[in-house]
Amino acid sequence: MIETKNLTRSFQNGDVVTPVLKGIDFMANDGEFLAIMGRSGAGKSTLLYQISLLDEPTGGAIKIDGHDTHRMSEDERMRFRLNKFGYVFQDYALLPELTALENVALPLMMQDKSRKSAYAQAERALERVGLGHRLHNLPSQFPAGSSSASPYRAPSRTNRRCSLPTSRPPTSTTSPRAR
Amino acid sequence: MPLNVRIGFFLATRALRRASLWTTGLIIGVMVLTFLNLVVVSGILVGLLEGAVVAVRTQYTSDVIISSLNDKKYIENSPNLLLLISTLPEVRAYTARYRQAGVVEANYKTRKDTDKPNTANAMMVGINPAKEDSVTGIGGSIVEGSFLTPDDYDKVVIGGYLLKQYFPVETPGFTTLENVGVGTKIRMNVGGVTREVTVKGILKSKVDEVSMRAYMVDSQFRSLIGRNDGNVAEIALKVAPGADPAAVRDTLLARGAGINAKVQTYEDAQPKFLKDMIATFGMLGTAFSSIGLVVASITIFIVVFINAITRRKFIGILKGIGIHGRAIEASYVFQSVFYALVGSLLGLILVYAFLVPFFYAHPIDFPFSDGILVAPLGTTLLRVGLLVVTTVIAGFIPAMMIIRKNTLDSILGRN
Repeated sequence: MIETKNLTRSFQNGDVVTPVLKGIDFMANDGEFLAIMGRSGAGKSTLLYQISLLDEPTGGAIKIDGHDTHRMSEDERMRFRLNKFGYVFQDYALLPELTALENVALPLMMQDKSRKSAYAQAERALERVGLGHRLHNLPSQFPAGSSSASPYRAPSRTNRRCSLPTSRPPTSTTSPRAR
Repeated sequence: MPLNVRIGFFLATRALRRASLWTTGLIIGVMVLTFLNLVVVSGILVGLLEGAVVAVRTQYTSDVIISSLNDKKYIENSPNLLLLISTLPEVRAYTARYRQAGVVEANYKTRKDTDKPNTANAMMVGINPAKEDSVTGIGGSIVEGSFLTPDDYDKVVIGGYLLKQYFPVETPGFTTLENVGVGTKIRMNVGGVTREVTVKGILKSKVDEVSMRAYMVDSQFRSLIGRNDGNVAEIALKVAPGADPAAVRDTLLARGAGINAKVQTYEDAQPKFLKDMIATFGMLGTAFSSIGLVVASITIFIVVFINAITRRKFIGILKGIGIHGRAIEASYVFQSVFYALVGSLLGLILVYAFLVPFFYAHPIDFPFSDGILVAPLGTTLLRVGLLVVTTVIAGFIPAMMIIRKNTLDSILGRN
């Protein structure tokens, strides 16, 4: 479960302070599939960055699975991200020098799994998303347009609590208004 | 192996394996040049003097030199000393030299009474040609004519520094002989005795003590200086392979050789100016090496900084998905170590398989020595270690600077 209370995030540039999130109260229960919509600049991405622990809020609290994340050290946040979250970045964000299999296996290895076990798990995950034939392809060897099947999605759906798309919704670049 | 190190190694091997060959080649090329700068520049500087030291040892002092005391013209009881030397198993060969300062004159036949005599001060030396050649090999330094034989009568081999054509130096108080070549008759004046001799050969060496002497067969020289007691002025000893010159010196001193003579190893006998120059050049070499090390570290710093800053987004993503900053830092450290080790290995091969043998076979013709490349393995390996440590630090700092930046800012490319 993800819960935010009175979440605020402001950006400061010199003397100018720009508040983006102004006291957001939000809750997502286990198994829920949610879409956050809003006009360009409304703060959708900023909210997701706070919830995904990639950024630190200016104020308020975020509780994930009962853990108060604002009390966590940077190392604890890192471990939390590693073990609990899956990310789908806007531009797929694959490491160019790693193959699809290695890209997927890397976070599993960081979870102290052996290379053999991580590779086997990553291979199964990639096969499930239809990339079993491209295990040893580098990102540059993926055909244009097929990257929507990002290898990062594979493990995030197999063993993680939350999958957080950090990309903007397709409408955000075409519509100035919230839907 | 700690997890962060394992992940760092994994990332580093992939980054190196799939990096551009040109980039890798360029970085390794810089490391090779840096290594050469560290080893060769100081090696040539030290080798310049080492060439002089080697020349003095091989052509003049040999491994151990025994000479007359400062207040004596010769070594008293030389025959007994020579007998002792001949019984030492560590001594492979030795040569005894009679020595007395004198003057050589060239134009005595042609000059008018008003002309200035063309003379040169020289050290006259009487030698056994075969023994001398077996110890110092100076017969191989003859550039004109030939070396002495035991049967030569009234013939001399003259050092190049006594002849104007080989040593055209105009120093006040220092004169050389003009128009003297092989076959020319010159006059020797030693201790008031004058004798006309023929130049049989000209000897060229960069060792002053060799090139500023005139050599004659010892039996004749003895009669010239009136010495019948067999007391010589110098004895040069060549020790057997593996024998320690210092041990031979100590043995001789223990047997009382020090009572009538100075017993020195080639190192003891080095002139003070040479020792000072060796120390000075050593310091210069260290200074140049240090500058080279600083340049290398700055180069690696820039290379890793540019690499890390262009990969800042991926570093942010790695941190974002939970890869520890220490693991990412370790990957850059491993890459730096790889560049330093491969560069040093190629440098070592270049130095020991090519440059050292090349300079040994073709010494650099410096005015006062035949310079070689001195690269003792211990010192070189120490420099490899220094290079690796410097490179690791120079690779770690920029990686750390980029990794410490805010994760989200790195992913989004924000400053």
